[in-house]
Amino acid sequence: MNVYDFIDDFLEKLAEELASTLPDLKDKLIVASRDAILGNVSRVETWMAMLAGGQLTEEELSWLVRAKMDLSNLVILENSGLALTRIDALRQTITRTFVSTIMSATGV
Amino acid sequence: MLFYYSKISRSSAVLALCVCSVIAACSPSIAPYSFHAYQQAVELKVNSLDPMQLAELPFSEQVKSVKDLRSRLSKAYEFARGRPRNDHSTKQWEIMIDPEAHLLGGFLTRWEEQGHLSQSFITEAQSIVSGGFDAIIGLESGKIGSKQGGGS
Repeated sequence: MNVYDFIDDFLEKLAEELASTLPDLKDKLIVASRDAILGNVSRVETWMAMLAGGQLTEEELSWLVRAKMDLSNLVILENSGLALTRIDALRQTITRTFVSTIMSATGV
Repeated sequence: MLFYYSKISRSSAVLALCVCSVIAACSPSIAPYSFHAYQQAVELKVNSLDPMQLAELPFSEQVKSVKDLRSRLSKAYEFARGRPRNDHSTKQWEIMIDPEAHLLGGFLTRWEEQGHLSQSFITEAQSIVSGGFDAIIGLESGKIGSKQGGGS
């Protein structure tokens, strides 16, 4: 089984699981999971080699893939949080510029 | 005359827009930088990766240290949850400590359930959990450059 066969197999099982637990979010979660896994193909390949060498069990491999997906969610939260921080900083800059422009225009 | 009114209404609109901008700028969308939150995450990263290394040993021998670690993780989560506009960090901690998920909380549950874990698995899991802490720390430290005030 190559890495892409493994990923297909994994996503199929995940879809079955989500169909019963989170049916409304199933499609979105599957897309997000596939993106997260495809972004880590080299790591999954390493784990598959470890599986073949008996260093990891199939269950451990599955756990690690899911852990990578959870990690991706943390990184997404980090990036979206930092984007809000930058928006706040921009708003403060605009406010300062606005106030100083008003003050210089009114001669205060 | 028409030109005069149109000029006034345009000026009013611009002024209203500016006032709205000022009001909007007064309420930040995300909690400001907190040194305490940053320090807590850094310390927990160090204090979590070492106990993970012990997962090769029977869980029964490490019950107390895992209990202490879980307690400290819960405190970090509650601290994040208690800060206003801190949804992103709170959600990060929630995933990190969730016993049903697959980061630190899930790792500790797995250790408890299985009794002990293999060295290869521990090493790989440590690397992922470490990345998770980096994301939590990165969000907090990334706020420093934003020049927001009022951090606790």
